[in-house]
Amino acid sequence: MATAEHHVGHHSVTGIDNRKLLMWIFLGSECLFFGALISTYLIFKADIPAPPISFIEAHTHVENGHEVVTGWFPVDRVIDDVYINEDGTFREVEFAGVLDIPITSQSTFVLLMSSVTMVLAVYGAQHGRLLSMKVWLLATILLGLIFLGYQVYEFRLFGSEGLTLETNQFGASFFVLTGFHGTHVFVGVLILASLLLASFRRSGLGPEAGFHVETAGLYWHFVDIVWIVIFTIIYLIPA
Amino acid sequence: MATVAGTMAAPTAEGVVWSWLTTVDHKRIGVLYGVSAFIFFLIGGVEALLIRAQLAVPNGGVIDPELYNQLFTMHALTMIFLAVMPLGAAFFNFMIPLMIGARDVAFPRLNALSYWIFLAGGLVLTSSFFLGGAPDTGWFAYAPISGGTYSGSGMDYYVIGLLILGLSSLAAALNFAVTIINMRAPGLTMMRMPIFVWMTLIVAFLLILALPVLTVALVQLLFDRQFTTSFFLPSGGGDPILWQHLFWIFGHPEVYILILPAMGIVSEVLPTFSRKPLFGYAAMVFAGVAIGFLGWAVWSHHMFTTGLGAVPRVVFATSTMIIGVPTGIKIFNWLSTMWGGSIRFTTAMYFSVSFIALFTIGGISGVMHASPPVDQQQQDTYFIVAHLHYVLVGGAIVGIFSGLYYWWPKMTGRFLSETLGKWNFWLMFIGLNMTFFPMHFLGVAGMPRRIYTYDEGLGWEFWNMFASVGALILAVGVLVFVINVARTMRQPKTAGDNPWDGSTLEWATSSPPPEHDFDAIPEVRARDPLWYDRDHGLSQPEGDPDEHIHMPPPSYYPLILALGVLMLGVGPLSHLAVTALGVPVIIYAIWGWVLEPTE
Amino acid sequence: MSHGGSHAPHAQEQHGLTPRQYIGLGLALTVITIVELGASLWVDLGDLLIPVLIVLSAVKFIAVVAFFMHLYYEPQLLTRVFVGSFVLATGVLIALLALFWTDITDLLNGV
Ligand code: HEM
Ligand SMILES: [Cu+2]
Repeated sequence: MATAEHHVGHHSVTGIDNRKLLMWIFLGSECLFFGALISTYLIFKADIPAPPISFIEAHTHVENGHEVVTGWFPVDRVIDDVYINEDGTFREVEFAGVLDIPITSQSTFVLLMSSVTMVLAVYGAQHGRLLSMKVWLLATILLGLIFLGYQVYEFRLFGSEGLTLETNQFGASFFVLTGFHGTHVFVGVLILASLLLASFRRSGLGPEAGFHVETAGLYWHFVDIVWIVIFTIIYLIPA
Repeated sequence: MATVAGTMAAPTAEGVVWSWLTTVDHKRIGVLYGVSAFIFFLIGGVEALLIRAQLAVPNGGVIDPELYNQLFTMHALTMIFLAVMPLGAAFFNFMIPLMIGARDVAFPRLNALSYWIFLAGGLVLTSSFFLGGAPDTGWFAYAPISGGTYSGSGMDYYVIGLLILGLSSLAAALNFAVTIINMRAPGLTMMRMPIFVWMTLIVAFLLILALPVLTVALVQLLFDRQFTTSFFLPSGGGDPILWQHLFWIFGHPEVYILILPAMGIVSEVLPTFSRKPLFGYAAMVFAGVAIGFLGWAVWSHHMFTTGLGAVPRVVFATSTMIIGVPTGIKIFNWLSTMWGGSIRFTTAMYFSVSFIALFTIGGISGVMHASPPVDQQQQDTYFIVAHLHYVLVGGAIVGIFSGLYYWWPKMTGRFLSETLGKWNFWLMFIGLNMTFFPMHFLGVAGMPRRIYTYDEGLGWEFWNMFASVGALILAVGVLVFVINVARTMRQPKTAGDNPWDGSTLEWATSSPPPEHDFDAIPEVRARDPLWYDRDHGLSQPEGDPDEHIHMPPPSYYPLILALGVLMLGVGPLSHLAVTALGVPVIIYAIWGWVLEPTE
Repeated sequence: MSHGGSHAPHAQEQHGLTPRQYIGLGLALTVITIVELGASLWVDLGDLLIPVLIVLSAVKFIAVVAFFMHLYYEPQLLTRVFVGSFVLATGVLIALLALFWTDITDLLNGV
């Protein structure tokens, strides 16, 4: 385009495209965002050795025809492995962590694979392979959705076990941290789906396809690395 | 002459309004920011006058205690988030592209979006007065009084309003960071940039990095209030001190966000009216950067009385005192800039020179309560109020007024009256010193801040009355400015391109600048480019009369997107259905935005 | 799509890994994750566990940023912006934790 250099937004002293620069700076901002959320989580974790302050998770034994009870019990009613009922009787309980690491490992794997498919979509877009781009974009979207499915499952599981936002500080900081991460994944899915839809327009994605997919990819990978950190801090590092 | 609108019909009233609603021109957006922020500044001023009226005499009963709490809270929020920050943004918008020799910012529509979201946030915050009461916890909203038990719906407006305003500032900061890094004219290397541009860049990064921490704190507060979590509520196992930490991790960088633009303005005004390049340019830049870094390492000086422990107290006291060093470097550089210069005492210069003195007073009281034992006496007294008003009024506001007088000819083509300007200056100068200096005495005499009233015989009567009279004088000073503007805007445009003989690029184009800013992109051969050209008999490139300069077309999508954001925010304050309706509005606006041709 | 034009995406040379290498990297990251799980669940590393986990996840983090996000091939400025922000975030986090983990007796002694 002959007059291109007079268009606002094209000029670049550093040679870095304005939009890519904006995305990287924005990701820097996101570091502080998740940093603050993770700090909150860790501060409460230090304050209150998990399982957290007021409730403790336990599976009761089935013994002599007694019912099976699984749930969160007020911590002040638990002495060693004995739970004291309201009426003063007590029963033996076996403590279990609330986190289901095998399940979360699967979802972690899913998100990791979505990073691979994402980078392949970027590669396709940059090398003019429109079909490959579309396929890998679709794969990334699906993997993102599967990850979200795992998260919904996990949240509901915790809910059914009695761990909610208001149960204790663990519940509050856990749900807000992972919930915001999930929201980021969801926004990423929306962005990628928009790009996929746009790529079916008559003009394809326009001459800048590679560029937009690449910038969206930066965001997507960032959400993945946040999960790498969250997974280590919440799931792998023991109480 | 390069033109944009070939055939323009005579502007109708409707057309004018529409053109402002859809503008993506950085200068117009700057004007929008400036006018809105000034209106909020006046509102904040009225709030302050009511506070001073209540405190003028012992056992005053001008307003009732509930309203009083709302007023001091809203006064701070209005002045910080709706006046000083957006007045800074007004200068960023208008001046930065001109000062770096660009035709607009990197993302013109994003720029418009920032403004409209700012307006939405300002309206949410201010409307709380009429919708069940404004926030009343003080601007830092300490837990647990900010929780649902002790405060009403005003706090929800606080949370939502600040979240919306944060979004606006984040968008603007990203835009200006990219603009400054990427859109500089040929030859304008980083170390040739005007100091105002440098300070803007630092402010942008401070916003980008500090706002997310406030966002997290606000979201957690929102959850505490609406979804029964207990992040900050001790009754549920939470920790009120956590709020203080998160708030001040944002809060201290925020005070530099407020002052650095003013420091940038002063660093432009002093050299121009001393006819001398800025003394110690590199030191000035590095002092600014150092302040930006150190600003992250001092936040707990707001929490010396919370039982931090000995080691943290020593660490934060030390870092706070160290931050006085780069600040001092700046002060000495400004003084040295004037030393030996041929000084012209214009109104802008009056304001800038007084900035140095007033800011220094605030800096000194700051270093005083950097010492924990001293702070233990001063915390939550009027001494702190004196400190923060010397840096914010004597510093930020005085710097902004200096910028208004300095750049008014560039922005409008008209000079503000110097005679009225001097009245404006002296009234404000006397008024603010009368108001705020005695507050040091009151603080040391034990008067707590945010107190509704006080008894006779405590020895506070005289200085309180004195301060209230000072506030009135200050207000008259601001009024004189308004009169000055009203009169000036009826005068013919007599300012030439470079009426003050300034050295930076904004003076290389006409006053006011054309829509495309520069007929030809300027060339920079040295620091202070226009003085270099002048001294070496060089000139800036001429525009090509046949060239068609393509500017981005107006767009209404920023306005719609901001409306969607407003709806998202209003939902939690009224009915969640509004939020649900906001989502499609946002999606529509984003799609329209992306698909809109900008060529 | 809004800024068509002057920066044709294919104009500058494309750096980066090949698809095969990307997949290989993905597999390597999976292996690291399995090692992390092993360290956390199946073997007893004692005090070494946390440092080991931090190092392993840092390796994953850096690999994704450097190669999937191309940062390794980009101008230095981007690295500085991102690493700077990350270091700041980490610093704030560490400082906060240090503040909250300060010995409470400090406070009780009234200092
Ligand atoms: C040499 C530089 C400075 C130092 C050493 C300093 C130090 C301090 C300290 C220690 C406090 C806490 C006092 C207390 O609450 O007990 C404080 C409060 C405050 N400072 Fe500064 N300060 C400096 C500059 C500034 C600047 C430039 C601004 C803003 C433009 C500013 C705005 C404030 C505000 C608004 C408060 C009160 C916050 C509140 O409690 O509401 N300060 N300062
Ligand atoms: Cu501070």
